[in-house]
Amino acid sequence: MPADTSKSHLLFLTTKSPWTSSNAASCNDMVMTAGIFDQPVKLLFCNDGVYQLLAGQDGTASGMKTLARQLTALDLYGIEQVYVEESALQERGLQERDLLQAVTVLSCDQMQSLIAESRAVLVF
Amino acid sequence: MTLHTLNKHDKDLVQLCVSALAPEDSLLLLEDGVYAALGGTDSRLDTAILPAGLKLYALAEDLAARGISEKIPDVFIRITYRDFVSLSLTCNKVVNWN
Repeated sequence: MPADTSKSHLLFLTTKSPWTSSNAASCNDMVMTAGIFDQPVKLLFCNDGVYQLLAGQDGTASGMKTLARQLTALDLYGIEQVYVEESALQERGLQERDLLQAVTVLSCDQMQSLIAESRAVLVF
Repeated sequence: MTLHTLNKHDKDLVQLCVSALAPEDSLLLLEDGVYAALGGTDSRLDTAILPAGLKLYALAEDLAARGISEKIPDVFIRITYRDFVSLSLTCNKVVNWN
C-alpha cells in the first residue's frame, strides 16, 4: 500500500495543567523526542493544557521547573505547528495575547479534521 | 474512521472527547468511562446532540461490574473485550482519551 504522506504526522493533545502532575512534562518530553528524530509533530493544547502556554510563569519560588521555558524552544526541535482549542481559552477567561507564543486557534470542526489527518493521536 | 476510547469519568475530558467526535467515528466507553452513559443533568455526554452516524459502544464487563448494565440507553451497543479487539482492527486509528 502506498504511503499516505498526508497522514504522516503525530498529533499530541496535552490537556493538563503543568503544575499538578507530570502529565504535561511527559507530553513535552515525547514531543521533543519525536522532533529530534525528525518525526512530523503537531501539538494541540486543550482543556487545562492551555495553562502551560501562559506568559509570565515562574516556578522558582516553589522549587519547580518551569515547563513554559521549554515550550518556547519547541521551534528549535522542528515543532512549528502548535494549536490551541478555541473553547479551552474562552472557558478559562484567556485570550491569545495571554500566551507566550503564537499559536493557531482551532474550532471543534478543525480539531476533528486534525485528528482524522493524523497518523496517530496521543492524549496526555 | 477513528475509534475513540474513554476510560475515565472526568467532566472536562468527556467534554473534550465529545467535541472531537466526527460523524462515522466510533466511541467506546470502558472502565469508569461507562458512567458517562448514564446521562444525568451534569452529564457532558448528551446522546441527543452527538453527530449522526456516530457509533456508540460500552464494554459489557465494565457495565456489569458497576451494576449499570440495565440503566444505560439502548443506543449503546454492549460489547465484549473480544469485540473490542475486532473493532479496533476495523478502525484507522484508536484515540484513547485519558
